[in-house]
Amino acid sequence: MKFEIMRDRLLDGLSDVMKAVSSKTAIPILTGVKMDVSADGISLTGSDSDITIQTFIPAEEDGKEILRVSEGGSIVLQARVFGEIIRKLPTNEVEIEINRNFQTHIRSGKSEFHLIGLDPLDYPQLPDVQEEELFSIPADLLKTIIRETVFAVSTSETRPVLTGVHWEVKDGELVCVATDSHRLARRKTKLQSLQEEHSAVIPGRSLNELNKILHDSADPVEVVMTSQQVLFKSRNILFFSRLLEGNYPDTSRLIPSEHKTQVTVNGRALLQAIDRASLLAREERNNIVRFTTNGSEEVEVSSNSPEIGKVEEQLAAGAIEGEELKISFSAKFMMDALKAIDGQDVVIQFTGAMRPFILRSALDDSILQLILPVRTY
Amino acid sequence: MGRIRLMDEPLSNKIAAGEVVERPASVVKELVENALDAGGMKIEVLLEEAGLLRVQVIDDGNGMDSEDAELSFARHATSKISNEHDLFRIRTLGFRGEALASIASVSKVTLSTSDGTVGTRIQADGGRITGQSAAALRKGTDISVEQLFYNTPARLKYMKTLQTELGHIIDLMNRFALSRPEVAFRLVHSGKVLLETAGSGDIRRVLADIYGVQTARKMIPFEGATHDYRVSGFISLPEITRANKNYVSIFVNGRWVKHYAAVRAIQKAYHTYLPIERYPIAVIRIEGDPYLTDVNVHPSKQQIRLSKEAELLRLIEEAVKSAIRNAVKAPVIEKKPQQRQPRRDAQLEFWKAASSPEENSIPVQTPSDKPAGQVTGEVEQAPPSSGKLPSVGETASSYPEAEPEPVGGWSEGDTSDGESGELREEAKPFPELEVVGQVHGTYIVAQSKDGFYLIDQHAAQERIKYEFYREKAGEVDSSERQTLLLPLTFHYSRDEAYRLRHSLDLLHSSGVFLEEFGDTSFIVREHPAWFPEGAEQETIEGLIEQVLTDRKTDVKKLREEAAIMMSCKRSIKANHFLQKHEMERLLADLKAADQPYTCPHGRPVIIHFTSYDLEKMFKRVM
Repeated sequence: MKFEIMRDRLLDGLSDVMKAVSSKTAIPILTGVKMDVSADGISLTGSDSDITIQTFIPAEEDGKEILRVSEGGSIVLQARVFGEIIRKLPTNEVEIEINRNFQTHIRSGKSEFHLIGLDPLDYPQLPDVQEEELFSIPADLLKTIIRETVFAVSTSETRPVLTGVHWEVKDGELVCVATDSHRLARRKTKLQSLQEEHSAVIPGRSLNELNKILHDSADPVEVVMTSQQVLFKSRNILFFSRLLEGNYPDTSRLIPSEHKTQVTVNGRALLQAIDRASLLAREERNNIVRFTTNGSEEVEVSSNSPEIGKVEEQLAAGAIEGEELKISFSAKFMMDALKAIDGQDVVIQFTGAMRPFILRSALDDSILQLILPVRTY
Repeated sequence: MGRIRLMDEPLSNKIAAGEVVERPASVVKELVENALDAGGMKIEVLLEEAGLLRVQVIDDGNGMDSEDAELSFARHATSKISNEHDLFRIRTLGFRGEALASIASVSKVTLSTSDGTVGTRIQADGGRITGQSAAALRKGTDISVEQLFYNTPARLKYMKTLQTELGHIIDLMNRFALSRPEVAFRLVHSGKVLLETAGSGDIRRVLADIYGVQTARKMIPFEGATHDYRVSGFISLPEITRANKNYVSIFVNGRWVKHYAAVRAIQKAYHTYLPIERYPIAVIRIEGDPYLTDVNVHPSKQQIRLSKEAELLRLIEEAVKSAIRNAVKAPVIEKKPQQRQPRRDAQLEFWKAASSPEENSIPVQTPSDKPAGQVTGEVEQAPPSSGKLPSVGETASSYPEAEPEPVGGWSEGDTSDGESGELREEAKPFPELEVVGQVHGTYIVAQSKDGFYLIDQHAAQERIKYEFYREKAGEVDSSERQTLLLPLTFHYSRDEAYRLRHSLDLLHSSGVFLEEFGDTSFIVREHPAWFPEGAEQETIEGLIEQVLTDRKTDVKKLREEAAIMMSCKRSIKANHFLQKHEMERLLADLKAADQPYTCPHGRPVIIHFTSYDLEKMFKRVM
């Protein structure tokens, strides 16, 4: 096997698949990346058993030659070392040649590396995903959906299913829900050509990695699901992830449908006020801040820590309807929710100090954030 | 028909022997217990071949008349209890009435006894009495058990090496000696004295006989009492540690028992004073009404059930804790490295001595003014009484520099007037320290009138911070509670769930409200807001665990690890160069600490070199 390639293109592909490669793994060969070379191009594969990423570097793109293959073949190379070598090569042209016994020579300019490769036959097969595509979604919308939900997954392994985001396709709509039991994020997306009903729980970590390697563009991403795997296909990238097993709790009945107090407030202003107040919310107390309605046009955000001091801040509200309210909650959860709604005017609906409350964007109904309050007395 | 029949007596005795007579040490145990129950004040145990060839126990107790002597070989024959009521107020070590019958069934026994009026000698072989005659008139009993297991080859096959079997016997005799300091014990194996106690009634002397003078000197007395129990005994200073729990001896009404919970109570008392996986040497004597103790659990009588156990454990923990707290001070530097400390274990001493018999040494110091030979008229080998124990002798003689230590003025010479009060370590206040300088950016050198001190700056600050964070960790506000969208579920076994259901209120003070959810499950709908994110379930499980084991919750304890970690992280490390005023501040803070001598991991903070140590090092004094 022998080929020449533009260093930058190889590096891009490598850094994408390296997202799936972990330095700690029970299967030693998974610390490597697999390279399959044919006349069409190179495919690179990295995996940690949970996530598998495959990128494809075509031999020719937009009439430009990227790759010149003299002889095809396959090899597995230690991902970390190989990545570092490619990154630091002196020129933009790389020649890679593999002899028998997987001896690998990497030449660029006057520099030449000899790497010991591993047998590609030992590398695990890609997950078997033969199913038809479920739906297709623009990459930038997919990234937004991930950003708006994935932060709310649980970090605790006590209930593994909560470490994932629940994706449900129903009635022509994709509903994504994440909760760690303290707060919940839900995003609904209308999609065309959604026929089949399907649901799955995708690990939060997989979605975070997917978010990193997808480009902000309107290019379509095809989503394929089996009972154990989800596959995201975009141009030149295949992203496989294991699904979480177990029944995701039915969250729809947990979201209150009516409210007693409704506050409309500028999201960015509230975020900043909470951020300031949380400076004095003791770390050990999980950053608790207090939120009080003050007449019909003002809310107060306050925090008190006996050892450090206290803070109060008044904030003009667009509108306050319904009962007066005093409520405490975690500053962190509130800030996460406000960041997900992203600066727009926010409608907050409360049903008393002890009940969950919800946040929505004043402009669009697709996103909903729910937060559980902290009981104080 | 006819397939089921009653076993004859020798056979049933052999079966009973399987439980009671496991190994030579069991024989020694049963016979010495008999001797103690008979009121013996001088008890001598003579062994051949680690007891397999011969165990002879000679006491000066009450003895028996000829009729009793004969009956004593019968199963369920005992003088110790006479009716059911007695079973609940057992003050003797034995009571089951099967020891002698069991032993006799697997060996050849010769019993000579006299109650002062008649002397009787009985011989038995495999449980059958083969001869009875008159014997010399010496009040007491002399029983010898020969060829143990000669008729049970299977059992004999499973004997460990002689060393192991002898080790068990020495261990056992050590415990007897500790349990009854007023009785003079002597253990002789093939002519070598392995243990000899004076019977002065002073436990500390016994400790010295067993663990060596140096170690005994570092044992501190403690005591405490409730309405029901009195505990007393000796515990080692934290600088003396052992790798296992075997050095904790617990005696309930004079009986050596294994009591896991009591060991744990002691460990708790030593918490942060000892490095992990290290245990103290301790002698714990528990006295209480026999009604409160049930030893009729297992034929070996090593297990015991105690009423009001929780109360007793608290008593032990408190008594031990306050004794340590009063006694702990900076460890004084000793010139000999720890490894060359005297052997604490008579067993190994013996092997050392036995491997070089020409040294003509005996392993334990013998107070020569009390020749125990008096009680052993029939013993052939008169033990040499002037020999020196190699290791203990060494520490007493070749390391005289330890002598002038004011608290330890206790050696062979003055044991006769050695009251334990004199030996008590004075609870010294933390010394007034003047900073001299810093070594390697790691240790602070300080001086006071009585010598100089090396202080590990990291350990010192760690201790100071730990005490701060430990308190702070407990000061959480459990009234602020994060509500949960999906309740947490907890599953317990039926008995745990039952106990938990009756202790739910104990959890309320920590802000955890369990709701019953089916037979064995509970749910929690909200948790205190301070719970570490992502570890809510574990934290609640930890609290429930505390309720199930200790019947109370202790947030401080639950968060202790966090407190230790925080104090370690936020303390200055080694290679941190300090200005003099910084060191002074550190020492002032350390002085104010509750327990300034060890860091939370149990390592020493401060080491004291006495002026005398310095003079010795420079040979200003010889």
